[in-house]
Amino acid sequence: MSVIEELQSGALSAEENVARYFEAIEARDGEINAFIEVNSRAIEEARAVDEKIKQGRAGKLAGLAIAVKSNINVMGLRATCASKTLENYVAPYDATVIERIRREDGIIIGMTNMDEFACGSSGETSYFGPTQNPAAKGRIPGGSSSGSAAAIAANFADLALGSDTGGSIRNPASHCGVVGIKPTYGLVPRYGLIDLAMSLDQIGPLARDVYSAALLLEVIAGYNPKEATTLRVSRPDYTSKLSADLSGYTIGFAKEFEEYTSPEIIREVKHALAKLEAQGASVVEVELPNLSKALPTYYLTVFVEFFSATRRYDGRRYGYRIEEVCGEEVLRRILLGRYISQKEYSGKYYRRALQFRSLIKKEMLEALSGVDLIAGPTTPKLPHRIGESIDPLAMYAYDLLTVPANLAGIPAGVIKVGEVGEIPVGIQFHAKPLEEQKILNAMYALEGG
Amino acid sequence: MKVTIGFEIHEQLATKTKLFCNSPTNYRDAAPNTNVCEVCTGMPGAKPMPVNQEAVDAVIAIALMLNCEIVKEPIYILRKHYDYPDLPSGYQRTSMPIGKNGELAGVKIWEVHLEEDPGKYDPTTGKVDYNRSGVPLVEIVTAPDMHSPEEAREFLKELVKVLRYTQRVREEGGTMRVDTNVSIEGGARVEIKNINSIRGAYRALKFEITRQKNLMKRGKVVKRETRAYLESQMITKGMRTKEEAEDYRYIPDPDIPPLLITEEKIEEIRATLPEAPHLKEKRFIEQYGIKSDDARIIASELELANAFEEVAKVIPPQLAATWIRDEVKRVLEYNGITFKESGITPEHLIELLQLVLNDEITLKTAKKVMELLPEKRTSPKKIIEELGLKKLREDSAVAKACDEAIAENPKAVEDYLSGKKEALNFLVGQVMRKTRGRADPAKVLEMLRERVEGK
Amino acid sequence: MDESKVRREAERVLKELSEALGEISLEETYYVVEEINVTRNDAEPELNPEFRKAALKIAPHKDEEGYYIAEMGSWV
Repeated sequence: MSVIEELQSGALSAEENVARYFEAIEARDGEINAFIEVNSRAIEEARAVDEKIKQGRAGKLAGLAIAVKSNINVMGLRATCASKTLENYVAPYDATVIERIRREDGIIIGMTNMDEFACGSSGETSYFGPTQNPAAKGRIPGGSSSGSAAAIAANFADLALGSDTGGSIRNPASHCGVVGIKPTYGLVPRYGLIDLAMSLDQIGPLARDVYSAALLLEVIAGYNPKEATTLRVSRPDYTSKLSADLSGYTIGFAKEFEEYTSPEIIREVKHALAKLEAQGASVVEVELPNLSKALPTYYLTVFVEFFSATRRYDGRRYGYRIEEVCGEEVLRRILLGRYISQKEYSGKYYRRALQFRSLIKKEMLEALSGVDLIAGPTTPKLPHRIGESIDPLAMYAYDLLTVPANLAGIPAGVIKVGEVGEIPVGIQFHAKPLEEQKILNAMYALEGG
Repeated sequence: MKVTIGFEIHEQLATKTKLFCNSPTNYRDAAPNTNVCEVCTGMPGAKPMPVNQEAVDAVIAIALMLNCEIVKEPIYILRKHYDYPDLPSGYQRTSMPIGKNGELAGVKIWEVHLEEDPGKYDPTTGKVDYNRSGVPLVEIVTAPDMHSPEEAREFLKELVKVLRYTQRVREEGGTMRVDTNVSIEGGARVEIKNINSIRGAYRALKFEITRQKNLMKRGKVVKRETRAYLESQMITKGMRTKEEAEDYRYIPDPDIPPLLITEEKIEEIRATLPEAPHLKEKRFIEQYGIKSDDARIIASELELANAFEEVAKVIPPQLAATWIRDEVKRVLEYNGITFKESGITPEHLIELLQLVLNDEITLKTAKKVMELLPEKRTSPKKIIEELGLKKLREDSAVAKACDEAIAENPKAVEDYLSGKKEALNFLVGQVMRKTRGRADPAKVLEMLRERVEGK
Repeated sequence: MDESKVRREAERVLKELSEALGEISLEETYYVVEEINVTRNDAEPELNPEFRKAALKIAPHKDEEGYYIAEMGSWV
């Protein structure tokens, strides 16, 4: 019986559920470092939910313990972005996704560790120290939603929220062997998500199974009148339409993936493709000739948007002035953003990147036009050992296969398909805008198979 | 030496909520940092809400009143980055031009934009209040078409009049902020910031032109720079030179999709626009046959002009015009209020003028009632009744007063009879005093003459 | 932190990314959601009474009246 069923049947109370996660965190998070702060009111909130369950008026997420990335505002908890800059920033309001979770009686169990301001792909740039990969001892968990993925992998929560600007949900999901989804841009409200790059950021779920990821996604997704880049779509219903039957699905695979990815990862992905064929899907080849342009396009865009987003951290209303306290990677991005956003250089870098963005978007949508999904690897290589010295460009290269989805605004999801020397490997699915259901179904099929 | 002056003018728009959030805009009545939320205080993760449509419409209306073309291409909301304590996000959101190539009173209007107001920062104490942060502003950029502080002042007065006419700017007044650039032939362009009134603009320009002329006389160079106007000292002071000029690193705000103004929208707003003041002035002269000076004064405020047209339906137009020009304006200026703020209605004016026309009260009484209208906020008849100001119709009371005046002032009577005609005016004054102004002075004069000459 | 090292690396990062990108001539994509005129009506104002207290609580410098206290102007 799943936790959701146990909670609904009354076999497990919300309070018991939260309490056992607290025990696990207490016992093992000293080593993993997935959380920056736990919610001291969680037990109290769980009791209130238990009351509602008894009265038969509890919501969809009743009693589920949800870990939240530290760049999402949860009123009364610290949204530090794992930076000294916001070390003492206690959120004075709730992000829209948090309001939606509360409305469905989910319980926020704590705020998770991450790369500082989501600038990183390893979980090592946190001011609160690196997070360990629970699925591969000594390795990085990936990033930047490192703590959220680790919390799921380590069994510290039922569900987690991450954010994904260029792979920050999918990369750690792959390294930690869990399910992670980057939704269509504009599907999930960003109100209350602390910016990395506004035109690319999306909040999404991380979970141990596809059903619960779909459940969290359908709770947080849908039109938000409080923001201007939201899509005018009603609340989706993924869970009731979840199906492992892939007959009629055409899945594309790009040969360019092989060019940039370690062979042992490709091997696992191809193994999974064979399984999908067994479930009724047909696999075809698609072309992504400009795949290598996605990474520089992505980073030049991020530098400028991140520079702009960080101008409010001036130490006057909260926290510290960012340049005075931040880590190396954050400072590097601010300096680069400040430099290339100068009037005289904007044509050379930022606007050129935006032109390439048009190219990547067009290429991704064209490649998807003839297929239901594009499947491929999530990261080009396996996670390195914690503490291993990595050059900034080598770190950026982790994102090569995840940034196209953000540049094109399309949904993408990751699920574990195998291991290489006990290190998890995840397959990544891309779909057309708002076709999250197809990604969920393909992942559901792999999970069952 | 030829002087060249241009302006960038900012005025707050009349909306209930801020430009990018639902916080209230009535910051004047509020304790510091109360009318705020996460958006207008720049909290981490806060996103702008969709643009306030009322503010967009207001800028379109103002641009149309300033005879601008409305931009038909996508209008991006840009982030203008700079670091200042009053700016909670480290950038100010400002639209690309909504109106272009307009004209007002012979001055070309280059651009009209929509912007958000920063908070309020007191540099002498460091205190910051974000209640004002996010209030929508219209920004109007003129060509350097003015050539003296006087011309510049006249333009600003005309602009304020037109802005008030649109009824889209905040009524309280005192919210205008002006940046001006001024240069003298042969010198560089100097920008002056921190001007908060028309008078301030005039004084700043006066000072700055003198400063630049003096530099040139001494053979020195006027350098390109930005200066601040210090109101308390009525001088300008250097802030930064061109070399230190800020690069605002404009980018389209990724959180806000662009605006695209349609022809239908423009026509919809055009239909709501009031007649421009200068056109109204012209029409009043032609339609009502009133004097041009009167027409100009009446058209200076939309509500006043509307009231005039109501009054002129009943009262002879020139009488109404003269009364408004002399008496209504006198009372408004004395109290430092607008016609709208005075609470005076066209019905009050009609009633009052009819009382005069029917000879029920004297002009002097009417003037007194006029003075009381803003304070009493009730009908003239009620005021007259309350104060017992009705004209004395019984000749007996007046006659008695005349007799008394003659009896009490034998010297004046003697003077008059010996040829000093003006001595009778003194006696009239005495009678008026005794009747508390309620007697008709012409009548009194006649009665006194009869009595004195018949003596 | 070695700031000069960060700067040196930043220069190299920019050079390599820029070279990897190459040249192109296309329309710029600023927004993934291709919407226009996303506006809201000027409805009745809203205020969250808890916000002010929570916001001022985390302010590094403030006074008893509820002003934030920033630095003083350099020119006064």
